[in-house]
Amino acid sequence: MRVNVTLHAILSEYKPQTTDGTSFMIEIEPKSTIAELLKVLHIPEDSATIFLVKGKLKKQTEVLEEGDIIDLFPPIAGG
Amino acid sequence: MYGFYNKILRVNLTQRSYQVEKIEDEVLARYLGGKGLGTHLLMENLKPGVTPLSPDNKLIFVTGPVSGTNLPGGSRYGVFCKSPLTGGYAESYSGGKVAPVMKATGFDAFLLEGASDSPVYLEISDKGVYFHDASHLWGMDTYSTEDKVLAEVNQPGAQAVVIGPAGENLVRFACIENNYWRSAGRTGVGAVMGSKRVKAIVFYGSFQAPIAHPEMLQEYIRDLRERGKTDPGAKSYRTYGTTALVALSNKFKTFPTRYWSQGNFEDWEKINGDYLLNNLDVKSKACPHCFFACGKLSTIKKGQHQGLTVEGPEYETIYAFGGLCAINSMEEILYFNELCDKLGMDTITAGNLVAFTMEAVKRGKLNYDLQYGDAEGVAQLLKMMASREGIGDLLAEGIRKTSQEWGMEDVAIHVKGMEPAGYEPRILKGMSLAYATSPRGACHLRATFYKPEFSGIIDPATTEGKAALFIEYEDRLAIYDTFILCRFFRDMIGWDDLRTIIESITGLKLTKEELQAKGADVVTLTRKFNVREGFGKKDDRIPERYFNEPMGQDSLTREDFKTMLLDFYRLRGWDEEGVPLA
Repeated sequence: MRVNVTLHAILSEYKPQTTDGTSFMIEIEPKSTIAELLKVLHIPEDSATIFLVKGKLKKQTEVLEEGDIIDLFPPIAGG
Repeated sequence: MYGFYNKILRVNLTQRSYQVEKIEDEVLARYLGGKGLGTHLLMENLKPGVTPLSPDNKLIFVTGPVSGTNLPGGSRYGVFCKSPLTGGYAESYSGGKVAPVMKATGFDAFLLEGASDSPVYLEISDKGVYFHDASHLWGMDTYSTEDKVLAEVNQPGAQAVVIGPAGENLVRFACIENNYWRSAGRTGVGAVMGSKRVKAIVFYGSFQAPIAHPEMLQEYIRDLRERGKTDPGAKSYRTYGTTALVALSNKFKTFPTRYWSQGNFEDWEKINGDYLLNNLDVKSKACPHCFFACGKLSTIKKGQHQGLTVEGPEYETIYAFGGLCAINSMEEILYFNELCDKLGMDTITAGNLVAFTMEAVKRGKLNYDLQYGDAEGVAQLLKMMASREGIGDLLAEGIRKTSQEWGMEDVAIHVKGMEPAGYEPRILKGMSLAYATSPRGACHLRATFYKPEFSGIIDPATTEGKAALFIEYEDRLAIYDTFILCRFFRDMIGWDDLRTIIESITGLKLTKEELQAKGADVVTLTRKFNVREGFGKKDDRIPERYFNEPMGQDSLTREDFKTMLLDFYRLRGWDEEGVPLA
């Protein structure tokens, strides 16, 4: 299935070589979780800690669906 | 006690005299330094009910046990007084290079009292205190003041804290600045300094407080530095500073926009961290010994502000001017940052007040030419606030008086007279508890609770267990403020790290529970200060708009808020009116 992924801030270094920007469509196994998506993108577990699916906060165990819009963020640096 | 000098310097500005006083080990062991010591000194020295901008108020500068060591994150000082903005407890902290030099003077705290009858600046060192005439500096901006006093004192390694025109003009949200761009920003501490007619304080010295176990401390620092090499949070700070949060906050619809009427800004990509890095010339800048280097020294490359260099803007400044005032230009926001720093004003409160003015015009409550998105109008109004010209004179009094005058108290967003930071509490519900209960008004820093809510450590929409987790964060960060340790290390420095740090510096061997109890003790002491000033549950409220104008299906309700507040009082050991029982 295909999902739309945006890598934010320092996660941009994990963008696949085949894509131009940090926002891209990617083919993953059906019923993949966010944790499995991170593995596909070679993102270490502690580097991406905030996950939004269609603008809603989700955990790593969230099962993704065809066409999901996913935003991945590094740990919060702010305040 | 190790880590301290057991000395405070009391400076009487009315008489232009000073004396050195002893602090007992028992006080330091109980309250540690920083916030604990500052609050203790306020409670002991300030009579309840004084007018904040009168000579009766005290202005207290403190360092902590980590100040002057090479611990990363340890270069911060704190300022304490009664706030002219809220009428309650005031605390504010600033980074940069000043704290270690303050500590090198050989004092743990500096208590300023009375008021000079003419402008002065102080030279405080290990040799004593000199009172210098500052008539020639009055009216000068903060950058020029800092340059001038350091040149006049002409001592190697000296550092200065200064106020700008806003502080002189008693603007109630004036700040104290150092190293041009570092600010003790909130609660109007700069106005208190201005009311005492102190334009600047220059510090220098060569003292070093004794350390109980130097090898233990150095071993800990080596370990921390090693962990920092691969820590993703450290990397994020190093690359983006706090600007990476703009994207997350907009995506999550927690980026307050157009004076709190929207949760995201349609042009956020023009004011986010990537825009900054891709379009301005950005260099990372660090406080002494810090590997985070969160400061972003940014130079504008094009347009009318081409060549302007400012350390900033931080997330909060981007929210206050970009979101709230709908300014879609990073270059303009950097210029407002520069204006506020030079004039000596808090960017969060100033941005909120400009946006409130825009909202007043939009609602037909004010006949003035200022629309959302008008960058020139923002700059003009900032200058008018600092100089108290036209409507700037009213705005300089803060949101409470301005909203009363314009018949807009139901629109104004503040708690206890101080405006919130850039985290929407209708979505991040724990932030409503933070804003309501912080002793200094709608402050985001006492627990930085947006952190566990954004990270999914606790569901932003739930109220269950929220007060308990909030207290855990607030206690830990209260300990950070007693050490005066930068809270950007909150992911790297946990309870066990804090135990190691305090033992290595002071020799105090404390369990996690004992340390947490000290944090809670300090939080309760700040509460007692406010109770003494007449504050209570009636003041621990958030604006009605947060309930009346919901955001999405899970928006904060009155019931949510009441549940969290009562849980918080109970777990803190306070009664149902929020008064500490012991």
